[in-house]
Amino acid sequence: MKHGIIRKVAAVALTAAVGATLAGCASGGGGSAGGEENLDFWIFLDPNSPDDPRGAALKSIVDDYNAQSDGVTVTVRSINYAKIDAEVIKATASGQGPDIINIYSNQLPTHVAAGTIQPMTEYAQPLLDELGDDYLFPIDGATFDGDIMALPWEIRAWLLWYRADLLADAGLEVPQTLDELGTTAAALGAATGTTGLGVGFSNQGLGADFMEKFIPFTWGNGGDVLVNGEPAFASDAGVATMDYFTQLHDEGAFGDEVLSMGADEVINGIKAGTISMAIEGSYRVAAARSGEGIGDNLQTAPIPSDVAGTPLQTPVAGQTLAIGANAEDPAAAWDFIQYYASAVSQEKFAAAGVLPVLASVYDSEAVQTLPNAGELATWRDYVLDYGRPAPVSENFSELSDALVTAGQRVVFQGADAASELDAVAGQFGG
Amino acid sequence: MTALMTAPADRKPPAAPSAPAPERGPRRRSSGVGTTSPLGLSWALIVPSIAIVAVVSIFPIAYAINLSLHETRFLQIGDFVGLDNFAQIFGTAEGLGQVGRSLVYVVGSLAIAVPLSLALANLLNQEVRFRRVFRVIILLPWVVSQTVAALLWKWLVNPDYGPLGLGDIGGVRLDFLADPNLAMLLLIVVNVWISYPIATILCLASLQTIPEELREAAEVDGAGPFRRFMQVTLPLMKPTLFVVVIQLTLLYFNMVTLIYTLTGGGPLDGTNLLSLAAFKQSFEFFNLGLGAAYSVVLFAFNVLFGAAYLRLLRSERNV
Repeated sequence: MKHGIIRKVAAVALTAAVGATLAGCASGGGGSAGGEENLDFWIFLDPNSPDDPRGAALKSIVDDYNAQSDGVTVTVRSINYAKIDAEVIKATASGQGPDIINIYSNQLPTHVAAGTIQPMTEYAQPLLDELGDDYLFPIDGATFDGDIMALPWEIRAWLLWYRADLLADAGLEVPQTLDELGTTAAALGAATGTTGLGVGFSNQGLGADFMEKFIPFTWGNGGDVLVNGEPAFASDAGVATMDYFTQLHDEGAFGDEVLSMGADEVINGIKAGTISMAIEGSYRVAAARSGEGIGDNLQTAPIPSDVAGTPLQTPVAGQTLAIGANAEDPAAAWDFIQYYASAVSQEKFAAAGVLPVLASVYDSEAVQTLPNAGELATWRDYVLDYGRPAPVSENFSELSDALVTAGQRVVFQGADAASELDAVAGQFGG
Repeated sequence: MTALMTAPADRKPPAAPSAPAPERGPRRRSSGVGTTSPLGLSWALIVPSIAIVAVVSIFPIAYAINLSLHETRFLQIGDFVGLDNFAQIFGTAEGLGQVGRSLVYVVGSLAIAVPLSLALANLLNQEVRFRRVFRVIILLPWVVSQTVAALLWKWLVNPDYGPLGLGDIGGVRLDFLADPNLAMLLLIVVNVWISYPIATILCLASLQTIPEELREAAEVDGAGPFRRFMQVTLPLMKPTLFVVVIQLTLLYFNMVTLIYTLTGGGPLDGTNLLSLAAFKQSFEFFNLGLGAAYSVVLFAFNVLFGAAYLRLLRSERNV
């Protein structure tokens, strides 16, 4: 009798525990209680960052949304940009993925293949129809099998960064061609003792900094990096790009020190004055300028090509927002995404040096009165005239890691460029 | 064994073999778990432990082995592919290079860490002033995380702005992270720096259990400090040293964070080790099958080295 009672109590307790666990699992990342709805928003930006003005803009937008929304609270979780994709994939697989995810456009194919996000066509298409030409980002870059999977909220282009003070000290002009880029960088290195042109050849960050140069240079040589997601870089254009990197190294534009540099090290070098020039993204200019003693010493220009006055094509990419596969209330998630991409929010990001996706925002009073309004307009024009969607692939990270290793062998060990590119292409089915 | 040795002397001797065996009552049948019999109680106590070990140890290992034999797509398991994933490790120059570099890293680190720990433990065991202060200072790296240690050393050895001034050493620029051999050397040094404190503590604890009389007796017999150390101290420390070596070997083979943060596997793949490949394939490239194969290889190395040390220890004891 006593044993029977114990067994019944244990069974009830076990059932309750299992039920609670299942309920917890099923609830996913967000949840609601008493009419209040919470949405988890995972993003690489840190709303409390003292250095990155984008973090302050994010905080302001989320706070404003939460203040004006009815019963919906968005909670930001900041995850390092190198880890966020893996964290989202793992969390979603266990049913604990976020409601709203910030995804870099290059990583969208990975998330689509991993099933971490859900289509948003029914929400996004009416908005895009309404915006028409005002929306600058080519939405094809976020469309997969006819479904819009994410909404880009910024555009970024790659530019020639240069330290105007270091160029002036050395009595040099801003390079107008790729040949001049090499000779100017070498002269800067010799005159100032700095790295003339910073190119991140490190495996850290999966070789992203190297790829950001390899792509436009290969385009400039008349080739492609990927065609329909398949390798196309093992070509004369790819070899010419590797040869150009070797030329830069041989003439002293950079030394072996770049082997230990990723994007962060290059930008820190620009800020510290140990690197004179680099090719980096528009989105990091404001943060770099906020460094002590930098300010207007950091200037930008379109990436030069072989022909003076005609810039190289720049890869166009950007951050996007997507609805998580585990989101229980996609309509609520979309409501926040729509607010995030609205003109009001875009103006806040523009003040942080981010290129807005809405053409009208550039002409708004809020942006026109910004100190960097002219520069933002220049970058927008570069994107519109010479922008080209950055190549994407489901296994882009792996490809990027393999290509930077190939680049290291070619430039610093004298390996044959064609053989190295063939080997990487073969590894990825090319 | 211990109980027999400490048995009271007045315990009755066992019955002579020729004496008739006492009549036994009917043997109680073991009724298993849930009864009050000693056997049932034993099982009741052991089963939860076995279940926990199975869940936290055996299941993940079995799962990893199963995963390594399958094709995967992100977190989904696909077709059985046999040893294809292992062929990518042992059948390619890249994979064999990772195996070789892992062995260099582990053996190189052990070759520095163990003698260093032993020497420091001996120093800390001396009666000197400020001994406690020295102990705290020497143990400090233990509390530093691998990420912080990697970032700290990256800053220290930076030839442009690092405080070690490696940018101009007699006109030579020394960039540890730009040369594959120097990067491996740095990785080993930093690894030793963060791991020697635990080894030092274990060695010190072992040293303090050695009776001083033994060393004094050897001294009376005319043995100098070096001979006392080699013939008295070291033999008595051997079991501890084997434990230290096993612990460090497991730690070094499995280390990811330090390598990922300090070198990222580069330059020129010079620090691309098995553990880093396991992490990157699993969680950056989402080739879980291949990542699991790397983990199984690491597991095999750990078992192999652990078993070899234990065998060596047993053979030492039998001598």
